Amino acid sequence: MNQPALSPTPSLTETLRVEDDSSVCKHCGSVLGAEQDSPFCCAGCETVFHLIEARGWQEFYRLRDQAGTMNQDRDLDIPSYAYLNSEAYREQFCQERTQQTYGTVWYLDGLHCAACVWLVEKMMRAHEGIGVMDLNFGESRLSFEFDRESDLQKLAEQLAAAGYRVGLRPHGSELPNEGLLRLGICGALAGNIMLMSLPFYTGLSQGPYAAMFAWMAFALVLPLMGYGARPFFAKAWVGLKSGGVNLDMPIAIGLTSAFVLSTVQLVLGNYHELYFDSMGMLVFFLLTGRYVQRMGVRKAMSETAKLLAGMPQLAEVWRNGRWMPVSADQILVGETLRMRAGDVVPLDGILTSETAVLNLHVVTGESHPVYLKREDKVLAGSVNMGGTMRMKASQTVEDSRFARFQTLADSLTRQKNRDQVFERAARWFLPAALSAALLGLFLWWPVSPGQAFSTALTVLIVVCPCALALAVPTARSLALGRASRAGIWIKSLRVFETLPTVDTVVFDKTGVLTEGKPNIVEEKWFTDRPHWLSAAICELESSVHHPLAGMFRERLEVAKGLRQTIDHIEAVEVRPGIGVRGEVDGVRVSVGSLAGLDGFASEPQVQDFMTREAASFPAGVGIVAVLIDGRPGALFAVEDRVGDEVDGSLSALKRRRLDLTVLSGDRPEAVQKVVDDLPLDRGLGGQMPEDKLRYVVARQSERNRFLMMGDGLNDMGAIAAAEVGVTYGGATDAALKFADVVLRTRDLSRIDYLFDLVETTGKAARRGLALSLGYNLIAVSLSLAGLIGPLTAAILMPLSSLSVVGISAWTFREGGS
Amino acid sequence: MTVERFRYDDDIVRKFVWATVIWGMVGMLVGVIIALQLAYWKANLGIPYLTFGRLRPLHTNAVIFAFAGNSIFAGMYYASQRLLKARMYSDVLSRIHFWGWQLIIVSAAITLPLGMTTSKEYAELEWPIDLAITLVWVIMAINYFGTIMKRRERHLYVAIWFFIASIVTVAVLHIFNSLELPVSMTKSYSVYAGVQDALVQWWYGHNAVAFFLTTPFLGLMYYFMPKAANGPIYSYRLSIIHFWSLIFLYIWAGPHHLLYTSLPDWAQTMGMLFSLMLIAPSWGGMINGLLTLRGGWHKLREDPILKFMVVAITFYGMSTFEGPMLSIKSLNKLSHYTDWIISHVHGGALGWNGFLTYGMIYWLIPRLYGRELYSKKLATAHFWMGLLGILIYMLAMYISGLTQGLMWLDFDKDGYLVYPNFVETVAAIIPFYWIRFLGGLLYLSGALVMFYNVMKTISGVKAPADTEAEATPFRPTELKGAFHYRLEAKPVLFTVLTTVAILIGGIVETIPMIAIESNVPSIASVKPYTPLELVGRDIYIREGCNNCHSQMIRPLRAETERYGEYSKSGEFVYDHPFLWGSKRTGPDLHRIGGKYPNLWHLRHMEDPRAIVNDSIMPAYDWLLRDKTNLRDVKAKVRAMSRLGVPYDKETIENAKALAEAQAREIGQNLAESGVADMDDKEITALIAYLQRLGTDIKK
Amino acid sequence: MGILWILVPLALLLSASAGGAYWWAWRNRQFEDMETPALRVLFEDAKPGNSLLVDEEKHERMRNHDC
Repeated sequence: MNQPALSPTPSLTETLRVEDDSSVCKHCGSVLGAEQDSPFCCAGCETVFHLIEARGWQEFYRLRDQAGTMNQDRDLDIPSYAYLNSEAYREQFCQERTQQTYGTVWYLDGLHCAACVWLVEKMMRAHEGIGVMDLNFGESRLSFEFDRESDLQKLAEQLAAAGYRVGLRPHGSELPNEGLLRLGICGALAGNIMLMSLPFYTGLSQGPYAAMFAWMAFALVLPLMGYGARPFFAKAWVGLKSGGVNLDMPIAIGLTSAFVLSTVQLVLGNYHELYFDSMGMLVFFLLTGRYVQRMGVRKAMSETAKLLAGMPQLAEVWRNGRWMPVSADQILVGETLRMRAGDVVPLDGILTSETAVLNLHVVTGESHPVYLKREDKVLAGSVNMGGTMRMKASQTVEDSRFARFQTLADSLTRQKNRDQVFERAARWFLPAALSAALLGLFLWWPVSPGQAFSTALTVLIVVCPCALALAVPTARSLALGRASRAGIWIKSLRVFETLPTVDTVVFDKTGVLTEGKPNIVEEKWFTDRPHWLSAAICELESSVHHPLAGMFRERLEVAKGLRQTIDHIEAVEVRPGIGVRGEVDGVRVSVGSLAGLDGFASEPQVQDFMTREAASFPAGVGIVAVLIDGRPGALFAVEDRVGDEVDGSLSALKRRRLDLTVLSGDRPEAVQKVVDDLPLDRGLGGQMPEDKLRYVVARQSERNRFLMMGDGLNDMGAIAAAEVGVTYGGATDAALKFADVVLRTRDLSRIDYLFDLVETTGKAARRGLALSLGYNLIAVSLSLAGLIGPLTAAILMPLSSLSVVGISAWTFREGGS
Repeated sequence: MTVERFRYDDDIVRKFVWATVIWGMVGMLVGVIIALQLAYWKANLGIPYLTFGRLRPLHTNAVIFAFAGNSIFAGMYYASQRLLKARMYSDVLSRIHFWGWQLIIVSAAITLPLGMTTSKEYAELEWPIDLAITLVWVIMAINYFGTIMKRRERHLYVAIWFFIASIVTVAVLHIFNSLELPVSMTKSYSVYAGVQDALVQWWYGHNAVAFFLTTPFLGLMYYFMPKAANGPIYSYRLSIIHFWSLIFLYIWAGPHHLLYTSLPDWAQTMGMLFSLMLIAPSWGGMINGLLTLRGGWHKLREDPILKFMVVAITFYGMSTFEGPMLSIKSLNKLSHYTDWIISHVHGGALGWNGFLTYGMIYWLIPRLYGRELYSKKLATAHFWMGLLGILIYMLAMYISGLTQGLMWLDFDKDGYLVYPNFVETVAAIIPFYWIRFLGGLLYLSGALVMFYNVMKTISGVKAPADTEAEATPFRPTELKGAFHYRLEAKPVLFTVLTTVAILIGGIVETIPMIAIESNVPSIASVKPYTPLELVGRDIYIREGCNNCHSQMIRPLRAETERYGEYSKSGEFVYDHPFLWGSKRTGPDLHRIGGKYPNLWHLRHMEDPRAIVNDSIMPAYDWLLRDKTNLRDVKAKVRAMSRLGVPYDKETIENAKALAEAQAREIGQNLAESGVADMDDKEITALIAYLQRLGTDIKK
Repeated sequence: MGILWILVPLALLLSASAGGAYWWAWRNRQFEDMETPALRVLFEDAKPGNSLLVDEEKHERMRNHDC
């Protein structure tokens, strides 16, 4: 290293300095604990560092140091990417390019800076069989071609190990970007038409040059009308056919009449009375408004798409005498599936294993796991919490209960997605504009028909809905940007209209108000060996992968401080719906619900004793009883904890005079407890998904307007039906799909912020509208009075549009964050 | 599917960097010399080849095409290969481009002092060199588009777009502005006359600034600024908008160079409006460049490269603001023809082009030679010398310009010019010419410091091998089946076809244009020049008189009082090329004809100070010694006639005899005044031309 | 001023070719990604190492590591 030659850049020395600095991780730069002897914070960092070093990829560290950021939130739990090597993946997510090559798109989580882009591209290039490749940083999108033989699973695992988790995006979330072409071309056309018209402003009016400029402007207007303005004509035509009124109609009428009149004047040789430049500006500004709006939507959609990107699970199916990975939609009814711990059940079926522990939280909202036995029905969407489990498919994926429910939700979403502001505005705008124009025509007809036409046209140009059309999109796209920075992704623009009408906020309980994982809130011990018992409980629960096990282990280890060893454990038996028992170091220990104690307790008075003791626990908590050889061991009050910030957030909403309701699939007592503790108006427990939907729909017919916040399959219907459906990243795909708003994390304070933001947006839009209306009124009056001509009108028009943009930005600035 | 390994051509970049460094010093040295000549006229040492009129085009050409040109090519070859992930299309073409371009510069350095000039600003080179420029430019274009074609990176980074736009537009501009009819190997006449020529010239002249000194440098900025700042450009989206809006707007701003001239009012106002519109995209670009350093302003303290670049971008912003302001008519009234414009262009050239180039060179040299820069301190010293030089230069020229502009327009309360004698306004600004000289000298010294620094850096270093790189080839597989597929997949073909279409379109239009009767309101009394006047006019062009004297009296009271009737467009219909000029170091000459006797002119040319005490004009005593060349006068008249000047057959056939006859007439007049034997000397031809100037309208 | 008969159409033609270039750029999805190209500029071409060799053992460790 001691050559006098140049180091690639000065910052290489900085890299070296970091390497020498023993207190931070050599790879990710996070601070190391004092006792750590390794120069890395974890094995993952060490691996990636060696990978980078071995390949001479130090450029990564140089770039990272420039950017000053690092991917530190690496999730080391690398998911299984077996699916990527399957035929099903190639069929569903790839396009065949040649016989041997495919093209596909991945979404990468965790891209932070230039260094990430560099590393990912390098890893891709170094991988066998990867062809043309393109990484889009802004959209976290990696598209590439690969050989049939290429090991994509390995590639994805490498990427994930380096901190870039691979996801696939559901179909249909791509937005074509044609608007940009139209906008650019129209910008050029409008600019050149303006050029051709400028001489008329600066004094030219007759002569061969005037003719040349005028005819060239005409030539440029043709593509503007035929191509640039086509969306307006098309929409106006659709509106006309369906007999409705929309905002594109005055545009279409204005453009057409300006075109016809100008062309007539052109033929007559009145070159200074052409309105081609106004038309150019009109179309350009209208398209700008639409494009700005679409960009906002696109941005919001790509943010949500990042959340939606996941990895479809392959189910293992017994076929042709062996276990084969098969994608869910190809499983046939009657086939046997094998599910490992953590797998999501892809379709409805019948359990064929002896027992199973399933979490139905996303399906029904129940916070506690459910114990099933052979022949029990297994619902799609539930998660296997136990060991490997087998089931027989009883429905195809499409026919599974939730697939059908999803179809219903789909139609609900479509129904409510219609842009109403413009429709409302158009209803009065068109007649008003037309009558003003006609008024001009009549007023000036006695003076001269030419003057009359000119006045009418001036009116049509000045009332151009540019400013009107810009006011709302500008305000909204500003809002989308702010929301995005605050961790709120507004998927549906309709929210801006519907949110202010909302009077009732409905929450799911589990996972929304509460954290969705159980906690011990109180405990009682009846043994002199609590250490040993704690360890025994942990071991027992662990052996059945009970979700409470982790909680017990954590809690007990902290409380007792000591690690107790268990010599042997045998004869473990799971009683579905009751609990688990087994022999620990020769002693029978059982853990289960209080209600199920009679199955374990040797004497009835033990049960009475435990029930009496449990009576002092707070109401609504779940109770876990532990027996040692049939005698009382310990009692735990278990509760799904309410998030710290929830109370404050709900109070904030309450101050907005909103009705706050909880609808939960959980037990009514548990729901009641939440209602008692929090500033909520009411709570209903035991709500099936259909019940939630029914509740919302029924109350909607009583003129209530809803914001529904939920996270599971069980909330899907209500989310779709509510005026504003809200969910958060980490929720189920279904909830993400139907929600109008997606929060980055389960942070209820964002809902209050959302209300604020929508209010500011409304204010900005109203100010913009008021401005444009004011402008219209004044300009129309002036043109009716014959004080301004079409040329002045054309100059005023862009100014009014710009001021609308300005006032919007100002309102947001004033409104603060 | 495989990763390809290849090497960039670093050698060609080194070549262009060296050309930049060397020609930069030469161009600036010439600039300093002519700056000295304005303060101290004797600095031309009485040598015809070193007069201001001949050296000024050499200075502008050397600085624009040699210094800035080679700088563009150096940066372009370096950045493009890396952005496109490909070696240049052909090493041979790269070298032809390099040596061809240097040859053009050398030939410019020889022909311009010899007085071979077309007189059109920034396009002074004669037609054989124009052809060579076209050839070399096309070769470079082929090489460049070939590289784009074989690129391994799908996306064309914004810098590439700026380079493409520059290459295409400069080609078109150069060809159209250089349309000229050759008379001999070293002489040609512009096919356009008068107002038309002026319009083409300034359409070109402005766009030369736009597409030679702005867009390619923006390309360099978008590549080297992020590199130097170690961070991405502030907003890539903004850079794309910057590019397209400049492209759609820039081409139109030319007429602002002709405010208050014979150009129709509406065209002037239009030029002004479009110049004002340009502020928006220009400032968008400036902000984008400066904010690239966001969060890293502290780096500015240590890093001379960033210093150079940030100041360069700041000057870009200042110039693009000042330019549109200067194109506002009321301000232009004051500033046009004065040193204010000189200040403005040097802010752009020294600040924007020069400093960006220096920043780039300091960044490139260590990378091209694999060794750290010899001295960062010297680079910082260079920066301060340069910056101080620019500030001194510009301040001196502002004051000088403002002083002169105000003096020209000044009336006393009785309605008389306060300074009727032009030379008074010259004497007033001589001190500032000295200060400007010092500023220029300081800037040049900075360049010398860089030369030393670079020499020290590379001394004893063998140029390292070409940089190795690897990339996956790019295939446009996504596009299938469309009608335009083959066209789209080949940007080269596309661009070539577009350019060909433009050229065909242009040529198709040129033919009727030449036939078109001029639309300039014709004045019946305006007649073509006599053969001798034509020869005298060519001497006027050869000596570069138009570099200091305008022939365009603006319709302002101060000017009509001083010079006479304002200039009408109809008076220039036979002026191939136009000689309106852009700067008045001396007074306007449009109405000089008949104002003084022949002897006055002779004495004045022999020794200006014999007539005007404070004059800073060089003595042109060789005009009294050298014989008039009448060998090709017939060819000249015939060429003019081909361009539509209505000479009758007789005049063409007897051109030489007619010229000799007129020369005798003037010679006799001079002899009567006491100076004999001037019949066959150049001075008579020049006097014939000067005495004719602006007189037709009075007939 | 007859020169306008050339200059104006010529400028229009230039504009049209700029429009064509814009269309080409759009068709080639040049505007699709407005962030990554700005980052990619910063990459220096380091000397390519033995980048195609894959270290199997390290991959194994990477897959199985835990923190």
